Amino acid sequence: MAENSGKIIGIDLGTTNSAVAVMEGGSPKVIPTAEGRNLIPSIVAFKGEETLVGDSAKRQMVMNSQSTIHSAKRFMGRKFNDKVVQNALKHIAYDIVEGKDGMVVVKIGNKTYTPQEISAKVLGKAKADAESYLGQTVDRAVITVPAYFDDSQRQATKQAGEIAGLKVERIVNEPTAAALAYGLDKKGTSTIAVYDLGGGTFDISILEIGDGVFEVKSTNGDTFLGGDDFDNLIIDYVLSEFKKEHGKDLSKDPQAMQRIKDSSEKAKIELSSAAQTELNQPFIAQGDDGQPLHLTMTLTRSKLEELVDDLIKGSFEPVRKALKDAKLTPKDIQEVVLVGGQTRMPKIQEEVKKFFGKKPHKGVNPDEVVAVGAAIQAGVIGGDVSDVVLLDVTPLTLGLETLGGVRTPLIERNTTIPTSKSQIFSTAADNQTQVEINVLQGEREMASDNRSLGRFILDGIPPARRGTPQVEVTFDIDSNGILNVSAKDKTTNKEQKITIQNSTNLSDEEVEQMKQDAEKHADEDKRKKELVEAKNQANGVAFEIDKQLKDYGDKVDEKDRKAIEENVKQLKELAEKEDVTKEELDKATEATLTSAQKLGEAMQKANAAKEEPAEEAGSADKDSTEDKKKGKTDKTNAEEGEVVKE
Amino acid sequence: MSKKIVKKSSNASSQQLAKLQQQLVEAQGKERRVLADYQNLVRRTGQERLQLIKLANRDLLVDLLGPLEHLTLAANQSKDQGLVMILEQFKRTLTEFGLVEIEVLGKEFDVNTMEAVEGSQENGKVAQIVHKGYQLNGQVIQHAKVILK
Repeated sequence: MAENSGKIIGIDLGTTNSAVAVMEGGSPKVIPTAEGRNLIPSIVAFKGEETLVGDSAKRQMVMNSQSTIHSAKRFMGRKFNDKVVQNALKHIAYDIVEGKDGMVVVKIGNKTYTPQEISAKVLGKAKADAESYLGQTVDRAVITVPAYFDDSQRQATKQAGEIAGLKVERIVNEPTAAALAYGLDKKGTSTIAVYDLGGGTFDISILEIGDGVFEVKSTNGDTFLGGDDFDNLIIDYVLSEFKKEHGKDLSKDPQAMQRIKDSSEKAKIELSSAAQTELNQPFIAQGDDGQPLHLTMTLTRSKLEELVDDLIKGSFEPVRKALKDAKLTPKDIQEVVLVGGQTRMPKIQEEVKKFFGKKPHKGVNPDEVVAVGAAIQAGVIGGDVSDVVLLDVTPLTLGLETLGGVRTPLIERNTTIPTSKSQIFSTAADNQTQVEINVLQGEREMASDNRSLGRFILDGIPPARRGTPQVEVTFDIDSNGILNVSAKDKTTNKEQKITIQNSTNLSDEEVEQMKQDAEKHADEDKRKKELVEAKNQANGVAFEIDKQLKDYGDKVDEKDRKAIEENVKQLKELAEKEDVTKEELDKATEATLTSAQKLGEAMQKANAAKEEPAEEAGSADKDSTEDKKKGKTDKTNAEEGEVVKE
Repeated sequence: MSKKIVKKSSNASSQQLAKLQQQLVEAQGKERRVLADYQNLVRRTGQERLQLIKLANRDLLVDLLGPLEHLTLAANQSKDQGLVMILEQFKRTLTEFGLVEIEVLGKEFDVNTMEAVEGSQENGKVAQIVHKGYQLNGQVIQHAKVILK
């Protein structure tokens, strides 16, 4: 195993779910749990001598509700008499009591646990999963907390980390971590709104950033609004529709309810990407007449939006309050970030966009964005991340022009830089003594449809048969985006190069436009490229057979020789035509090759006569045919300097 | 005078040398770290690929479990011989791909293979199955949803 310095992990310790991430090779990576998921339910259960954490605790929650602790975060650093704590009592099945200094503790049988000790179990699992993934000890972490957490709550979170065996390098606000995940600290932005709608809570935070420092201007939210509330509305709707249709109330049937619950949640998720979905649960119950009853209904996105409209509209009240407290209007907000799985819902994204008048950031997985931001902060602290190490990518494909005006790619778009790629090219014509390198940027197949970044010529190539010289072309991009292209003749070691500044310096709009153009013209470009390649092949075949006719033409019948010459002539004419199709060319090439088989036989006989009697059955024939087909390509009027791909 | 100038510039050079040496050490350290990250990534990618191959059919099989469940309900309800035969054939095919049903009825609750949807700690045995549980090549791909009584 390679040596590695101690990593600092970033942990999103959530009310419903937690996640852990780490910087790897300059990029944040969410660490999968031992169960193979990216989220750890923030649930701890005590079963006799055993302590269960995460998914396993969740699976037995229903049967062990008094000893299964969820949402411990609601009680972190709070006193028992706190209004928030008293409010939360009706949402939990386990006991909480007043502990030392009036703080909340959880009571399980005869034992009591502080919320820190409970959360420490979740952090411990995150630590163990990270160690398993990284193959090394992990003892340092950055942990996130809500922006509204006071000092007591932050201290409690830090304590939880220490109990879990982690040195907490920093406590970071969740909205700040989300902003870091989108690199908003580098954008010179000043005000950011973070709309966080997760499993069980809704938080809105208004942040201000200046000189790389985040300041929380205001927070608000609804501590009991989350994805589960959306699910419940769908379940209620399904139950009422079924009752209307079949006169049966399924809410008392636990088996039916479980199936409805599962399919409602699945439907909600599907409707984020589809306009409608089917809920199909055959044999869900039995009618009074003993006949089976089936649940089958279509749920459209618009119906779902109608059902949850109040919830969504209601979420903007806290947003208005937060803006008012920050003395800002929606127009003053420069960036909006979405956090939490429920924000995948298109209606929520639409309403957020309408409210703030700008598109929210949502590219990073909303379930993981806080953990990602925590990892980035961890990376900065640990020295993994600096301005230099955050690497760019080349936004568009870089390549060069080859025979027939085709673009041959060398460095694909989105390749991380710095990077270097070399490829060997050759000449298109016999005795070609120079090649022209036309450096191209873009996604189109034909050279003329791409942007030419620069051209240069390498000359002094010793005269040779076409396809023989080896010209090594190297594209090298440094971390500043400066592209150096060199061409070197491997025989003479003669080299020419060109330096292109700002090869990565394109605006997002320009890059997007070029990509869209490529998509729009993809079919057309493909046909053009295929046609050029067919023409190149046709010319290559014609050239080869011409040569063979010169060398061996006298060894075949007059009639056969004339037929081959005629085919070659027609093939050349066809290859020159503008309006020829690929199919016509392929057919003509095939016909020419077939007619040239006689020539192949003559060559074979001639070679056999020179060598020992043992005849290699058809292999020489096959080779020359293959050579012709592979296209040592040629344009008899190839422009000198044109490069071919070997 | 000239000796002082020489000494001053010699001091400046030593300081600069020390600074550059420090920068070099830091840069070498960073380079090793990046290389180590890369090597770890390659190793991990290799392991993940083996896992993916092993569980290549997993997503498809998980999606087929719903229809399998419904077919079973239909076969139980209708008792049609043809439907039962088709169901058996379907199950056999899935078994060939490594799918194994987790037997849970009447057994003690096991958090590794089951999820309780109703019941309490005292009634530790599975009385009803809401959804069957399955393993694929030894790994649980769907926990059985059970009612304890």
